[in-house]
Amino acid sequence: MFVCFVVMLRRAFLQAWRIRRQGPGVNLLRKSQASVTSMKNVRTMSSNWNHENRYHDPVVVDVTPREPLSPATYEAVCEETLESLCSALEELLETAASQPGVDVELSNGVLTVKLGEAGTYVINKQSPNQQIWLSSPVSGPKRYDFVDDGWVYRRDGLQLHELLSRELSQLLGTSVDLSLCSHTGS
Amino acid sequence: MALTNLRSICRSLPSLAPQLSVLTAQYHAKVIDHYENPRNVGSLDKGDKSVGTGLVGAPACGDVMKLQIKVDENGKIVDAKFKTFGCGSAIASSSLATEWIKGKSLQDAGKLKNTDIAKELCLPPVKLHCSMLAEDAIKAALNDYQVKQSSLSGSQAD
Repeated sequence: MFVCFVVMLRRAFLQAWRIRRQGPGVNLLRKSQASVTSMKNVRTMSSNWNHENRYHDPVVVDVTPREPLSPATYEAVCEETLESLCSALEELLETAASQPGVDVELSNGVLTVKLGEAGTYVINKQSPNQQIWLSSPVSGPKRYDFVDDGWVYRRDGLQLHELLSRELSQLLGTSVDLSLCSHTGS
Repeated sequence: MALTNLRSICRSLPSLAPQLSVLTAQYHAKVIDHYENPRNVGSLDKGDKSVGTGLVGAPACGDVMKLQIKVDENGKIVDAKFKTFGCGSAIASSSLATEWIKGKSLQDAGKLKNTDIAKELCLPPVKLHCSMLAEDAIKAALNDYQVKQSSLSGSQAD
């Protein structure tokens, strides 16, 4: 009986570890392929998709068209952007770090900034689109393209660091300036 | 002695339950409902002049949504269908979107925001992008319908 218990515990741990590493969507994703969309339809949909243009923004403001970066350049730029943001935010939140629910963590290209009751920012790299994706508790999700050494949201032309500075100033009640971080635009 | 150890393990099992539950990922009940009972799954005739088709996302990103609307002569959406390849939150967002736009006029459907979808499904921060994709799918379908109508009226004028 003890052996059965150990086996059961090991299975539960391995499953939870698998989900934690791959994300909660994996098991539902596999099931969704069978129940919602057949694999044939998925192949048809993806083959109809213009892979050159990737994500088609239905609403686009006139922003300087971006030149595709080489994968190595994109990875390097993303790493510099996220690391400099992480350092700046850690310094900014140093005094507030002792409060419950306040934390800054950078791991595997995902920067998570927890501000307790004010909400959580998630800023992550999105390699297939060569973008940085932002999820803000104030203004919602946004996708940034690398234009003129800065990250710009094509729907309103605003810079990533400008938006973060403005929103964090409001949330924290103090003036926040992230313009000294890497890749804030020319 | 072995029995004593076994008894102590069994007694400690209930206290382990909270720790074990933390290890498993939790989807909100509404997301699970839309995932297990998706509304309006299917396709409409893409060539039909009263049908608008929106296709957004990219397979490489992990989410692709196809959302189609059927509009009557009064500009009201009488039917909506979707097919989504993606995570549970993406499926739930597009399913909810088709539920909400059915019966609405084109103008009202265009006012639907990703924040409404995210709030209704209680999406976590990392899944807000799924609700944005659903909003984009609606806008793309509306746009496609408008383009079709413009080309039809243009050809009739000629």
